[in-house]
Amino acid sequence: MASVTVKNLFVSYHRGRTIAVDHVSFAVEDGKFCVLLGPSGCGKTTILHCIAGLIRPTSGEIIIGERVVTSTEKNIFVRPQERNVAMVFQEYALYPNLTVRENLAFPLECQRLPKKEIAARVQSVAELLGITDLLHRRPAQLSGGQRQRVALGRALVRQPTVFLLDEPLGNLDAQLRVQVRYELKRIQRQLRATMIYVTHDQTEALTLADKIVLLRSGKIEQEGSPQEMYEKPANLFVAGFIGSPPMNFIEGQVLTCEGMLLIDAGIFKVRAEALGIAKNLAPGTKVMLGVRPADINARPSSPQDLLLPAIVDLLEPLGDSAVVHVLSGNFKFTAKWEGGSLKPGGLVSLFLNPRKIHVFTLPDGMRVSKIEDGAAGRAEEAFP
Amino acid sequence: MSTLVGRGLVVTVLVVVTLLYLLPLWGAFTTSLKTDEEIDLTSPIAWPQRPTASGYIGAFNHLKRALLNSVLITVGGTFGSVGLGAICGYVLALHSFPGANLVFLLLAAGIFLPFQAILIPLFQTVRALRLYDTIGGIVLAHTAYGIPMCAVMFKTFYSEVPKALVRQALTDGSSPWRFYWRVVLPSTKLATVTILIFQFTSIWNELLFGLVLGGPRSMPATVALNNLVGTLAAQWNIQMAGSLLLAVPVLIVYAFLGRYLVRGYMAGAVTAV
Repeated sequence: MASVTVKNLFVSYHRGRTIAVDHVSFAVEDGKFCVLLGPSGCGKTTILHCIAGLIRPTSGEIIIGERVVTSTEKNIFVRPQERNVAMVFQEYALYPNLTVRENLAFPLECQRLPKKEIAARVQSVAELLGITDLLHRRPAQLSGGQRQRVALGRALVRQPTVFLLDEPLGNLDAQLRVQVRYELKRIQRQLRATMIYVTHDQTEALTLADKIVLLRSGKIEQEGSPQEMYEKPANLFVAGFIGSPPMNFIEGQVLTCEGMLLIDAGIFKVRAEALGIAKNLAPGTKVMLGVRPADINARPSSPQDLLLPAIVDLLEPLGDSAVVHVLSGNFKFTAKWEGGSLKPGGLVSLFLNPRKIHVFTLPDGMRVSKIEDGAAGRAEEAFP
Repeated sequence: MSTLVGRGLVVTVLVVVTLLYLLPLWGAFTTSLKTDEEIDLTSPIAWPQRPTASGYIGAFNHLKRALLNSVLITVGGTFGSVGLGAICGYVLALHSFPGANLVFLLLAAGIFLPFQAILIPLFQTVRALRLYDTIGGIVLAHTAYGIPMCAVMFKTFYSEVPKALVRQALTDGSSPWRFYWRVVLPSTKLATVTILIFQFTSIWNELLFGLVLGGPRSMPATVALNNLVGTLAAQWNIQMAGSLLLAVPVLIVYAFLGRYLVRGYMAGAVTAV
């Protein structure tokens, strides 16, 4: 296995009129699971294709292990077939005329390995993925989940330096997706494989990744561990994209009252000090406050908790809990409800720990770092 | 009731038109089995009183060399044009390169070049290559002339091959060649058979190239049959038998592979894989 370093990658089309990837740099350590996350058209698949060698970038450098595979400056471009990376596509891309066994053997035949070794490797991967009884079938005779396994097997059988996976679970139903997700993670751990995985599904990203690179319009919005992204979103976009149900947002303004800094959000006022932010905001500053639905509780967790009386608008039962849509004044928000039964139209008291409130300055939408953040983090960069 | 009458009318028209189409063939068949005397005395469509194979024996003796030439020319020209056209179509459809659109445009323009327009330069080229009156010369002409049509048809079929398969093959470490032989060609058998039949019938039935580029040693059966008209003006049975002999290979190909042709035309509209 190998690490992957992407340096200053830039891809543009139509003579520079369309920018797909805008000076992106990140690194994936050897044996780590990195997820490129972002909405459609953010450039994540283009980056993956650049790493695979399917696209020549306009400028930038890609290093796999110790080897520079793409460098526009040094005029290096290693062809995809010579990069020893394995790719799994959303469409599975199984060769329709070949059996499962032949599909698995195809990349090994390309390496001109001895027949005995090919047979042994195919058998061992088939056993790993539980598809030994499908080896004689053709792709058309397989279900979606089985095809997905074969596609994964074809990548595994090569023992490549890096796995590139382009929304590989996109065509599976919800139940199968969870199952294959688990298997994928298990295999990655077992093989200590370097995997770069593209998805627009933040749940997949949070559950699979050692590291998430979140992109928008060809640029990196934030990179870090799933926990970091969830707990310390660098800006409003990240805060809104990561987490399900999404974060609630309410606009506020910084005021001074009897020498104290307050943030007035309309339905509540909160002392800036109680929020635990690491720097003072000037009075008059407009801010956006963000609260995760999971941080709004039925019971207070500390004496400083803010009380939010609200009217239940809609309930989405999830079995063991529910997502409740409530109205508090003009503020519409969602909360994760684990308390007793609720009825639409009923009154409910909700509690909010001010420490859990995320503060973003407006209009730039950057996060105001908190005392507990400690050192480092991209969030710091906005507040030197 | 009215629908029944309508259907009857349609069937009647279809039967009449079919008979009209079949009548010349029937006339050729009955005439080919008659003796010279009987041809002069009876209607061309009447069944012979004493059917004889002498017309076929005579036609075969006149045409055997030319028939062999035709087989060689057709096999060579068909495989030459289909083979090279397939490679062109594959590259144009699945492995784009700078200037690919221009190449495609020029190839497509090649389809619209009429035989007559290129006949003189073609003759001069073949003669300069010292290939006049050789099977090789005619095969070369058919191959070159067939490439544009084959390339465009193959490109249309191969364009249906999902691009993800190409990308997958590249990252699997496959060369474009291996991917073609192992995946694309076997997945598009229907397309290949369709284009093979198309080229086979076109070259087998072709007259002009054979007439201009062929001589006594290399003339195909179509030219030889045409020559019978002048040399054996009175022997209708031989001429008719010769015509039918010439049609036999095409009929055999259609009988065995015609279903592929129809399926191939239909499949092209949806998917080639």
